[in-house]
Amino acid sequence: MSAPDIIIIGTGPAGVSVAWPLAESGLKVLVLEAGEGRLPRPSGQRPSLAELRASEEGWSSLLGHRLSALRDVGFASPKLRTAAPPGFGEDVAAENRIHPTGFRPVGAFALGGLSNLWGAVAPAYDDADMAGWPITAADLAPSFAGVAARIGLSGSDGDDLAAVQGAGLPLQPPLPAGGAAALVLERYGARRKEAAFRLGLARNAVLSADLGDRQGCSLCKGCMWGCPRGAIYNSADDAEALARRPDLRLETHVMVEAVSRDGDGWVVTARDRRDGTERRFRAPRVVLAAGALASTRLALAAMGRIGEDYPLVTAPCFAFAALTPSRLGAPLAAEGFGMAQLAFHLRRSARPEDWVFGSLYEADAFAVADMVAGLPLTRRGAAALFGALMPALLIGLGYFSGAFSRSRVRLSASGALEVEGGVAAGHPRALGAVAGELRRHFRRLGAWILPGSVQPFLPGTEVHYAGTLAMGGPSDRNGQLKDAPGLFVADGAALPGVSAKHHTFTMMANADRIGRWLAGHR
Amino acid sequence: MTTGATTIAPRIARRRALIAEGRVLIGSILGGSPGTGALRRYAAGAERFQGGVPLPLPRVTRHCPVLIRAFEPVGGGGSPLAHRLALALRVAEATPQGAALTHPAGAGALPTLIRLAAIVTAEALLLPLRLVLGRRR
Repeated sequence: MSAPDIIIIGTGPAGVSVAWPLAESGLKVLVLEAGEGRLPRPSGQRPSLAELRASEEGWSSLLGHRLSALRDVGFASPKLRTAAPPGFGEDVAAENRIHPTGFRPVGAFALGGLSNLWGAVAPAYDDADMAGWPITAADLAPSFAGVAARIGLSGSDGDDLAAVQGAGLPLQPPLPAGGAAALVLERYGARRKEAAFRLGLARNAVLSADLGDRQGCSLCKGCMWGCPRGAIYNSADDAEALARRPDLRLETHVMVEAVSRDGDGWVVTARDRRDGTERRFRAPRVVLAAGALASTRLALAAMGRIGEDYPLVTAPCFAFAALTPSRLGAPLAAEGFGMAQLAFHLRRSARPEDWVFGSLYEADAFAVADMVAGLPLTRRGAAALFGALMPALLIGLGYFSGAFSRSRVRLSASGALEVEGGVAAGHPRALGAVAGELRRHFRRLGAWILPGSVQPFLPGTEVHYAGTLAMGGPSDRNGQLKDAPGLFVADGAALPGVSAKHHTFTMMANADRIGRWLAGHR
Repeated sequence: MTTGATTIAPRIARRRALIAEGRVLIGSILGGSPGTGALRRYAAGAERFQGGVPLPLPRVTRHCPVLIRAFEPVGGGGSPLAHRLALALRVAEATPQGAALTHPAGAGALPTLIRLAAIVTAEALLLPLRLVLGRRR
């Protein structure tokens, strides 16, 4: 390929979403990725989770490559321990020169970025979520539809949460809810509805039927240990498909260190992570999709914005456990879907910034060691307690909107990105109030939120990052940095904020929209 | 030969001590003797991810692993023993015996309630001991 028309930095969900319309337009595209390749997919012969647990040989799958699942990853995504090799993501902050305080940055050097490990919950933002943005949900509509068809979404278009999660999208049939989740959903359907609380099947970027080379979910319940069938969307699949196109070149092991103006275009200075040699690439236009924090550092350095504070908007997250006593002693189903089965939406007031969105998981899809980590019981007692409760237990993850975030970033004189994590002063009280309201709503459905189980996450752990290079702020409505024409941002950094809903699908749609705009404005 | 033996011998001794430690910690979780494979994985995990230095467990626990429960720190997430117990639990739940504990077959509501009562009683009885004996672990 001759000199590229455009360079894209990153192969995560945003990077591939901006790349597709550009590649299809005939432009010459160069995609740079710091990682070596994709994470290995588990063997296609892997038995179900229940069979693995009952087998003398199951440990080799449950504990992973070189026993990597024996390490401690702290209070973070359990997939980081069970589905990623040692070292995965550990050097990302240091290599990207990100210096966190009170914030846990999560990133990945791998083809597909964090989509190798994500939870795949994929609701679409609506106008309430995007209040104050320079674009509307209608601007994103074609991209929502296109991205949904490309990545494969499963879910219901007819339950109480269908409108909240995005109406009118191409959907595969929903994955089934089982055990305690099915019971709670059934009771919700039979009860009088309250406008403030809605429950439904989760909208997931997980296939329930085959799509291209990917196979539909087999209900093996082993999602937390990686999917052998490719049912869970991973943008590495798209990156590999893009790399087969004649006008697109993918270069891996390329750690981008700076982007600087070069005449009418931009030069990308990088280091080869294999041997440390410097590499330089030139193009008239560059798109940053390296992950919100890495993209922000590159952009602020390119614009010379040293020592200025920028908001980093995150969605403060909390976990809880809920018990359905009528399922105590029930047998565990051998088959099921091992990630978010249900989603809920709590409208605490008329103001969208007060809304809470969350998802519910059957507890037996997780490793017990992760769930009992903070319990003040003996390990035998904790394991036995969870074992006894397991058929009746649901694990919930809830998110506040970015209005409760107080994290900030700043480029230091040394070129590092200083990240200070924080939440609004009113967040602890709001969390207490939300916990009380959720207790009441779930109790009506026969599920009791366990005392002491509502636990907030450290900022950053939830990986819903946005706002640093917001459209309508440092960047225009097409993600072009106002002080750096030709330099675009397409990942979470471009989103002006995050609502309580998971932002990845909206980020992908926005990246697709930016890619379409770039393809049409050469 | 002598040089090799002098470097290998401490490693072997340390590995044996880790296996003895794993026998106590995994055994206390499973309520029975762990298999040799689980012990090997415990020792490998301790070496790879936790520095591999064996812990000085109370001598009495070698003969009766369940007694280590009286020494488990309460809320001691950062103590060396708490880290090793977390490792032991990860190893234990990836064995069929451990899975029988964490994911038991459906036993019916009444036996489960009795089991829950027994668990809570045992933990309540152990708590004062753990508050005293587990402080420096």
